[in-house]
Amino acid sequence: MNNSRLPGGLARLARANPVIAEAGRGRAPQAQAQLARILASEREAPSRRWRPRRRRVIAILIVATALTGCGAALRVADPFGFWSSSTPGTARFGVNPAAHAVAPRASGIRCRLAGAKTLTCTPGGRGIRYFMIEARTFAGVPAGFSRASALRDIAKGLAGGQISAKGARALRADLIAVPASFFPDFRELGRFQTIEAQVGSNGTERIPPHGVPPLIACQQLAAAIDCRTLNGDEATPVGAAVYAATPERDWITVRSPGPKAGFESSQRLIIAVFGHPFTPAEVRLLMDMLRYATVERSGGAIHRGSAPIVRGSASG
Amino acid sequence: MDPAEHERAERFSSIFGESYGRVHAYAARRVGTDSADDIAAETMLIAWRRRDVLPADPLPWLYGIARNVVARHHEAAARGQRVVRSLALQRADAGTEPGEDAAVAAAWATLGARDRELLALIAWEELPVRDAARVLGCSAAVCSVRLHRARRRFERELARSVPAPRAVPDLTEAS
Repeated sequence: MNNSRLPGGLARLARANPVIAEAGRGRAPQAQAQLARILASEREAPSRRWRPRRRRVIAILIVATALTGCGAALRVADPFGFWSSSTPGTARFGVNPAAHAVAPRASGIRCRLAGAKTLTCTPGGRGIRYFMIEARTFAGVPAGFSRASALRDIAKGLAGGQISAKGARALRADLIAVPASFFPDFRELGRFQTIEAQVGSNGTERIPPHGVPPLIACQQLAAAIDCRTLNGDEATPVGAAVYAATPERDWITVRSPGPKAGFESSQRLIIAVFGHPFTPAEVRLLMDMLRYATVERSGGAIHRGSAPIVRGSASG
Repeated sequence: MDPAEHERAERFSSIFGESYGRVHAYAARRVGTDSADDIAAETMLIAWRRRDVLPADPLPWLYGIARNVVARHHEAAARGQRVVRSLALQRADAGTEPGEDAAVAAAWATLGARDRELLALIAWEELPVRDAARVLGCSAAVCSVRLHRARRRFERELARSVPAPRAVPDLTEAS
């Protein structure tokens, strides 16, 4: 829109623009160096922290059990209420690392309820409107994550100059300080995830009418798009896309339980999975992983050329 | 690199060259020039990772990503400020200088975040309503109504404002 054609007050506002875009900035050497780093970066699923239009999607936590059998027990006994999300706008689900799906490409779809927890969707037509908020679900922690793999990554980072010798020493010390059981626990932890589709403000959220799932997981099956309610889904295949319902007029506003409820639920999960709250050593290691995963995701990494030390292990 | 991926990289490079400056300016208006490099870089990194869904007209989509990155930045800054306050330290992150029109700045300061974002998309990012709607995730019709109301509020405040040299609030969204 040409500013000269803006009406009165907007034209004045346009003239008060505090920062004028520099057309050539993207072709400057510094920006081109950033571009080279971006193009060299690996294809990855979008960050859990990705937030869709008008919504805040927050991956709160990620929990799991150390033993496979424990997962089954969870589903039966649900000792900490993981599957019973009391917030309509929140979906708690488990990713099944053994099942793989192809995500639909359509960013917007229309769905009809086909069963209690299933929907039939198409890119156009009629039905409840959904839009993609996450292109691909993934297990929160790589299957190969272990003490050995993390030590190898640290060695690589040290050799590549992406981490200082002092930093590597500290990381190794933190890795060695946690018990061996931490790693399988943490891998399993990545299966269990929460997405919050928060629409609203001031402690409220808008939710759809009863029966309309606010969040669904979808996969492309030949020409059809097969979707299911995400909340409570215990085996969402890796690679499925997550879609959120588009708010309509018949949505209602309810009070949001706030982050405290999520935190308490997460604490219960951690205790159920690990048998205890995180120990100080585990917290130190988690902070290390968060730190390096954040560095990897952030723009700062592009400037510094750093790479993840423990890639993807800090989701949530 | 397979041919399709090569083509995607070529297209993304072209988009990067054309859009980076605008995304950077978008970020600078909202978080100040110090953090704009990081915001723009992260926006482009996310865009590259989501290249499979890169739309034909990518600018509003990029603004949408940048908007989310800025929101995260504000949240992180708010957390940092809480720590800073608890340590009784001085705030370090300053925004850009405000515009020269004091009446505009005064009226701007009275607007809510939603009005500001919409007006900024129209007046500063120079987007048509249709594209602003894409950034904000609403329909063009809803966006038009919001714009009408936001403009009315802004112009009402503008009419009330008395210009005062340099006594102006920050025009950035450093909330």
